[in-house]
Amino acid sequence: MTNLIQRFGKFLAFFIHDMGEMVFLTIGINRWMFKKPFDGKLILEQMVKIGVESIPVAVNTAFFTGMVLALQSGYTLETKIKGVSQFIGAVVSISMLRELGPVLTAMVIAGRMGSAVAAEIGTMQVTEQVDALYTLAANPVKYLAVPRFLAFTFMLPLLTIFADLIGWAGGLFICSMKFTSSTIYIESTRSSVEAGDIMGGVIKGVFFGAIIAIVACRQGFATTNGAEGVGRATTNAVVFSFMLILISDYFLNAVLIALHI
Amino acid sequence: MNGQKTIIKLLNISKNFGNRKVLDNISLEVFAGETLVIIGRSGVGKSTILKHIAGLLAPDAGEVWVDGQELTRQKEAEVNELRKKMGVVFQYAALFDSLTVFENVAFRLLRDFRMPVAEAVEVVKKKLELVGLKDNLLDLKPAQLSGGMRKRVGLARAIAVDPEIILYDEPTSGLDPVSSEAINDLILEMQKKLGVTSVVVTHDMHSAYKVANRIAMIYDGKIIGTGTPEEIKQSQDPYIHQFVTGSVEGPMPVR
Repeated sequence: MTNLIQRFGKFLAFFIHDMGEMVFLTIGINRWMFKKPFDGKLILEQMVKIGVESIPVAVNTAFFTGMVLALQSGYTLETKIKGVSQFIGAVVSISMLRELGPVLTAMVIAGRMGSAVAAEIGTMQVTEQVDALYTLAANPVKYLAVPRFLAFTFMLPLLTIFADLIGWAGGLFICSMKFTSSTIYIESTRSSVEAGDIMGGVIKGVFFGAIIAIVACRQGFATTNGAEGVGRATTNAVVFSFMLILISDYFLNAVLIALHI
Repeated sequence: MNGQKTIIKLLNISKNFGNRKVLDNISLEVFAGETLVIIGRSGVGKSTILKHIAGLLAPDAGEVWVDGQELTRQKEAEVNELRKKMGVVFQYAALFDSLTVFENVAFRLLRDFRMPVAEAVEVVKKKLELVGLKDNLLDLKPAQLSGGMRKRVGLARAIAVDPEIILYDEPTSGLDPVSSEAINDLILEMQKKLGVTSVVVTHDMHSAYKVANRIAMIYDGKIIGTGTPEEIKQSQDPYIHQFVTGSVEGPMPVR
């Protein structure tokens, strides 16, 4: 038991130390972002990798989430409160837009690309490629972290919007098959969704993108001890991203509600 | 040696990694145009010295002077100016795997010097020829090259901007004898053809004797002797003698 508490304490200390380092990295990224040269090609490359190539997994996640939402809420509404299945559209679309779209997309992208970025930068670190960048007058934060940061923060909200649409369509599919007509589903969506619901999800997407980028880059740059270290950096990148996404999701929600968004 | 003009000077450098003292009050001078070889067992801080000269590590105490400027007090932009005069050849070449041979060698020319691609291609071809590689490699990725070729590309990248100083980290480690010898010849050629100052870190004594004007031996965080290859070969210092003869008998513990 004490062993377990000790280990948890160690993890907590490590996590807090890492958070501090991430603040420094964030400052560094913001400082280098506006300095020349502008690495347009690198940014575009990362946008393709992080955004475009992630569409299949984002679609898969969103479609099935929308379907299960419709199935579960439809079943619950039908059995518990008779005759309210006309609200399925509202339940699915609001849940997708405000919560599941941004959070699940962020998780999937953290798993797919946060880990990849940590592994790539980590490998570059342990093979001295990061040192080589310095000797060739390219600051690694500028050359590696800035393009990834921009790509994550720009692409994640776009993927979120995309996931919202796909999830909604998944709900529509199940709803029209099992519960009510598609017209009722669409009407229910139209009457309940407001611009703020969409905005809220997009704002979350921006924050989650920044979190994944900073966590992944930080873990990559902090890699030591060869292949084992790269493995650890990759794991940490995903675990820390997940934790921070869920924690910040709560606080973002609180702020959005306070701002009436 | 060129009237013994000092181009690199380390002054009372100390460096700790955690609790481990890696460099303990080291002072070292490198003269313009010479090749200084730093020898010593693995893990004694040879590469750490190189990283201090390249400005990749900052000492806990002491000063690093390169070409009349003190590195540890400079801003990154100023260090980058100094790095224009400096090429670093890393132990495992440290080529960027995501870039082609051309993009690697031309990295600084394209990004920092804003050289037009057509012009950069000509420079890269010339540099590859200088290190004994053909220009049909230009579009290959580092993973498609052999270890020896990678090291040569790494050298070509280091000399792309015509540096006055080249730092070599274990240039022959992990290479077969023929490739090693070719790298040794290259180091000599760079000195002869381009007049560069070189600092070579190695534990390959054959290579050290061949390329060095002077050799410095480091042990336990300190420099325990410097001299010409001949002087080091004849040294009566028990540590140096044990190292250069590669003997298990002597004061150094065999770990």
